[in-house]
Amino acid sequence: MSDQNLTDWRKLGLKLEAEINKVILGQEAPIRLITNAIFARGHVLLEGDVGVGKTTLLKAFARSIGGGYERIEGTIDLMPNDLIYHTYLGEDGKPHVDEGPILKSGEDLSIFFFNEINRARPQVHSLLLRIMAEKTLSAFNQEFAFPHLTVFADRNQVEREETFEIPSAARDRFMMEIPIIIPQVDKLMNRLIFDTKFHDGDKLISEVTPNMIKFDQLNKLSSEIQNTIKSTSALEKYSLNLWKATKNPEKYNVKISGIDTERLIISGASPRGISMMMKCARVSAWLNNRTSILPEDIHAIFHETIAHRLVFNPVYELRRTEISRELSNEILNKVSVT
Amino acid sequence: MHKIYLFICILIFSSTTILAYEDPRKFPDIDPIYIDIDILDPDQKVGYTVGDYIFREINLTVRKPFKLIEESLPIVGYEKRYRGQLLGISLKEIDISKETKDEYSNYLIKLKYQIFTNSVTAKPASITADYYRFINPNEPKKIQKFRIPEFTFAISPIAIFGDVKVENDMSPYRGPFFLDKTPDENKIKFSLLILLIISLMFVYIYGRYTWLPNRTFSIVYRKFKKQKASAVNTKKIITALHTGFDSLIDQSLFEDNIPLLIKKNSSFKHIEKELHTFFKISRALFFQKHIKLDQDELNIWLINFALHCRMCERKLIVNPKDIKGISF
Repeated sequence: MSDQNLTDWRKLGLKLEAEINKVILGQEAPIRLITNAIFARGHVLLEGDVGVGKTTLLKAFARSIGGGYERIEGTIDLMPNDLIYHTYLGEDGKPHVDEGPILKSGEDLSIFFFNEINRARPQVHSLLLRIMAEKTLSAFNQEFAFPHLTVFADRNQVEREETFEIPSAARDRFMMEIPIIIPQVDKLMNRLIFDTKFHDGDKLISEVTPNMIKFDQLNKLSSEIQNTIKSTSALEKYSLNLWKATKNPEKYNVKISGIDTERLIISGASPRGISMMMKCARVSAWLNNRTSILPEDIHAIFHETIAHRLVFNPVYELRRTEISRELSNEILNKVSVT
Repeated sequence: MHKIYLFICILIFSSTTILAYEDPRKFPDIDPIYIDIDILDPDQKVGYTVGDYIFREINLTVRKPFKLIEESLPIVGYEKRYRGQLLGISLKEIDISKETKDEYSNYLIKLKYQIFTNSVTAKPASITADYYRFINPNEPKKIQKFRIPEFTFAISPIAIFGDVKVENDMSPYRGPFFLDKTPDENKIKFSLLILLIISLMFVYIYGRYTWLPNRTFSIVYRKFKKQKASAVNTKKIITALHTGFDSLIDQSLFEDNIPLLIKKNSSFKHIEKELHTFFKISRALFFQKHIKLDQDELNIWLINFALHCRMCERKLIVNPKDIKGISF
């Protein structure tokens, strides 16, 4: 793939971003992050309150990327086989077996949208883990591959009843966990209330240009981006220090009010986490039309790619959302570039 | 009946009054063999005026069996009289120290008188004689006295009445006026101390931002101002400047948190453009190796930038004309 192609793809990427921004108000930063994850070929977990537009946002992306799109709702009685097949009695009175959402689109499956993932049982998480990591599935004595698959999932942190905490191994499979917060800007909030365009989600999404991106070329494009965008030794040293700081924040003088940072972290970022961070940093540099990664590229994706992978002391786990934001900010503030 | 009571009351009152007014001179003189006295009077005999002090020191030795009746000593506040007239001299202080031996008792009596009178012409005055009384315990009813001689001197006017000509007023009989300078000296010392403390406070307050050496960017500028242009030296000065900024805001400074630096020290607002250029250079040097830089031009620019940072650190305003761009 030539530089010219990369430039064209970048324009397409920015157009995709602009297209989503047309229908989703005040979420420029999350939209840039999801765009980043799509080109870095990573799975995305959205986290936020009820009714903030997580599902609408993901549906809009699914429409613009094209390829097979499947969706499933997380419920407490959902079982792994519900993802693979379902049985029914046909009009002929005989039992029939159809493919479930995972298998329906075959290799063309590009987006698998798992709504309210934290309502599903750990058995379902387990199946999803394999699909996310290996992009393959064994069923009906056959091996199915999903080379273009990206998993989008969302969860809300408010409700605790009939939910299951996503294990750290499953969280680690997601490239990013992106918080969705309604911006407290009166003008935007006013539009959300009084502009009827935003009241019908399905109609709103239909305004997004479909199949803008050739989903089956994303893997190749992603490799090309990763090979083209360079990093210097100074940046590698900086990234290494950031990684170390996620493991031993106290050694980098990271302080959080009311938190014993020496006891806070049980396990820092994983090697997979840091490599995903660097992948995203390269995409960020590419989206900003640069050929080298800058510290600012890492800053743009640090919290979203790292915070959800950190394993906190159980004492602090209930305050994860609040503490992890402070921790990542403080790490970026305290770890020096030079 | 009332008349009788009135008579008794008058009798009691007059008897006490008569006793209180007891003239010490009526007592017989004590035999001088029992008394040794040494009086130290001031040398100055003239030139006293209102407010002046006169010090007398009486060293009195009383041999046994006699004892000094200490109640007969002058009382503080008592004003001297001569023939019933107030002299304008009163006792201000009295200090008595006593030493008793087998054969005698020794008293050192220090008296301090103050003058409350003045005159337009010189006039004689004296600390009149005092009569100290003594008692022999073997004969307690036979009280005897000893006369402490008077001290005569002259009270002088503060100035000659009428036209004062100093050259005509050089009387050898009048001592010079001595003013006690100690309180004034103490006031001056205290004022100087306050002035010194205030000066130190000002030096501390303004010195933080002005001339005090060894502040972050002073060190950077001093260390690198004479450095020669080279890629290694450029990296060193940029690293030192980054470290300086980091220590100033107590966290890593990046281009997007320059407002934090300006909030911390508003002087950096004047070189905001230079700060952005600095980050551009830093990025090019450390993270974008494909960008080629002219080391000589860069070295001059960085040294000038370090100087501007030093000025901002000292709260000085950088002249906008001194801010130069750099091409790369």
